Amino acid sequence: MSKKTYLFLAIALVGAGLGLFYSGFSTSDFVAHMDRQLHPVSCSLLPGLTETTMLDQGAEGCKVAMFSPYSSFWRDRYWGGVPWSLFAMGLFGFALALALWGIVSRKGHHLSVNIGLLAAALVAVVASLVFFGISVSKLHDMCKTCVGTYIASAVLALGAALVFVSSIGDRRRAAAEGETASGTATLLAILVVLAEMGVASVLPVALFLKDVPDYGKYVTECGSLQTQEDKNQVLIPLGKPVAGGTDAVLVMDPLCPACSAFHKRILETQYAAKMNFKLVMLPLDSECNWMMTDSMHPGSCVLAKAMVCAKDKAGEVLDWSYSNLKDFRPKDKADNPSSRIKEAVVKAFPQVRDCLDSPDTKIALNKSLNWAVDQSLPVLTPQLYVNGRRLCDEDTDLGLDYAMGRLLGTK
Amino acid sequence: MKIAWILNAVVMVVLLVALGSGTRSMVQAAAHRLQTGESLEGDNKPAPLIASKAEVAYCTNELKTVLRRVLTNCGLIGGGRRGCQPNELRNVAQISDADFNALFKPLDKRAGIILFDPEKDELDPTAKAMLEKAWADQRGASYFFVVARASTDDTTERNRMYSHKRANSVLFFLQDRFKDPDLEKKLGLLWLGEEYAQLDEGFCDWNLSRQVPECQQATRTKAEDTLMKKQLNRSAVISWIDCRL
Repeated sequence: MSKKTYLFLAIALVGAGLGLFYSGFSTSDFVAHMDRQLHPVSCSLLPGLTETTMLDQGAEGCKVAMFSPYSSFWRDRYWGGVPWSLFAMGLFGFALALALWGIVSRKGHHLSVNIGLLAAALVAVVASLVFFGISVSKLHDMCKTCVGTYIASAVLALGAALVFVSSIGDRRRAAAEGETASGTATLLAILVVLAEMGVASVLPVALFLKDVPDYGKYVTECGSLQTQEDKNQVLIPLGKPVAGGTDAVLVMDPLCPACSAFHKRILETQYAAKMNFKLVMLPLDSECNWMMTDSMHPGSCVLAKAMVCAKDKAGEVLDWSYSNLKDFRPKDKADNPSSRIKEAVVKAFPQVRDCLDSPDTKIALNKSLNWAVDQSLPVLTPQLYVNGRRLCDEDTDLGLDYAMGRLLGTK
Repeated sequence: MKIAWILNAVVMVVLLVALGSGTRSMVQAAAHRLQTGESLEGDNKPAPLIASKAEVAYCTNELKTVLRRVLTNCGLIGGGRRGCQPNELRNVAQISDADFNALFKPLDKRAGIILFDPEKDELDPTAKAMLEKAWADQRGASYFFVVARASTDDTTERNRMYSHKRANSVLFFLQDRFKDPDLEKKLGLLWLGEEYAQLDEGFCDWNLSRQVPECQQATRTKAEDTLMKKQLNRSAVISWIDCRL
């Protein structure tokens, strides 16, 4: 085996090592969240070397990727699903071991090693391209740890390709020296290596599935509405009613970013089309909500009133509000954006102008807040009640599909 | 060649063991935290606030006791009549006039005083506007109190009648304007006539439905003082009570 092949095997080794490093961190972050708690996420090209905090804005891309439905599969069967990064760990681990073996045994120029590295690199590159495409087209955000994996895939592919090219000469020289394996032996070696790749890729997933706990008892124990009666007509229908659909009550604040993200996520689930969503407004703004000593989302009372005024177009006001969240944030601690929001909402929905400050609107909003009191709801948003049963806060992202299936009784 | 493949097997087994044990330890650690509720960061999540009716600083035990007595005996709590006669209210509240008024003093920013013409019980436009605004500003309050009074101009019986009619004017306006089916469960009517807890100049600073010119004067003659008190007591004090009773 030539020095060049050693060098190229070393490149493949580095690529595979990097891939294992990044996919290991991705898996670790994902699996850490399987305790249904929130944790900081490693989101860096040097994960593990930088301190992570829950409020780190730089980690947003990795959180978006991890909580998105693209980070795992079988989410309706297992809480959070099975992370794709487990396969990546196995695949890069295999490539690392194969490259290492090629160097140590001096058999790196063998066709079986070449094919094994190329196969691993090909899978890694194709997967990287798919996930990069999803980041750009669907998530509109980039996860740095994922970028690390894409780079690792490229390095592995480069190393594997160079090893393959360099090995052609090595094999010719070996053949000239009479060191040739039979066709059957070579084919068998290739099959063994590919089988190793399969086992290495699947084993982490198999062990993951073996150890994953049963979440069934946790997801249905977060309380329920005391009554589904709506005598004061505070529930605002969202979307067209579905015949035979399940009643779902969303408790939202029109200025709450988590509500916006949750609303989007719930509409993307397979269950959304079978549900009749109704909305209850719980603005976390002390201007109208006496339960708040400080406003968490100042100005949300104005938007809640606009939704009361908009009647059957309340959903449009909500969507409009969610698409303008950044503009409606307080600019500093002293800023109260209520008047700015009022101007904007009247401009966007002129029909609410005369209704916004009327006593009847105030009373309607108050009834909505008192509905929350009558139901003894937690003062937080978002909340979802399916058939009167509450979706746990812990299940509003990774566990959403799993919990929804259980709440709807389809699983 | 044989040795090379043995080496391959060793490397692959080491890899599989490392991958397997790494995966299992991560999943088992998460499962342990799930079952025990332990936090990875060592912090415990605070229990969320539960939605409840308002309970503000002025809800002293004394105020709540008096309000409870009044509500129990004059209607609201447990159904029954709405309203208390002036002569029974003193017995029900079991406190003096001055103490009764003092209990309501902290409501100055929340309450309003609707003023009426002499011998009249009609609400003027400004009174209606004040009433609309006040009723709409329920927030987390459970009960809306209307405490109607009369000045000392007429006979005791007639003054009782005026104050009763003034309380009813407020009730009928709210019923007619808001058509709230639960209104009677929220509203407490008291009519005090001229006999109990007359308002003094301390209530000049409250939100009045119309101006009382004598209230603005720094010094008043005795006649002006009497006139001011008469105007203040041809009235109905309205307020939501932000207390859990």
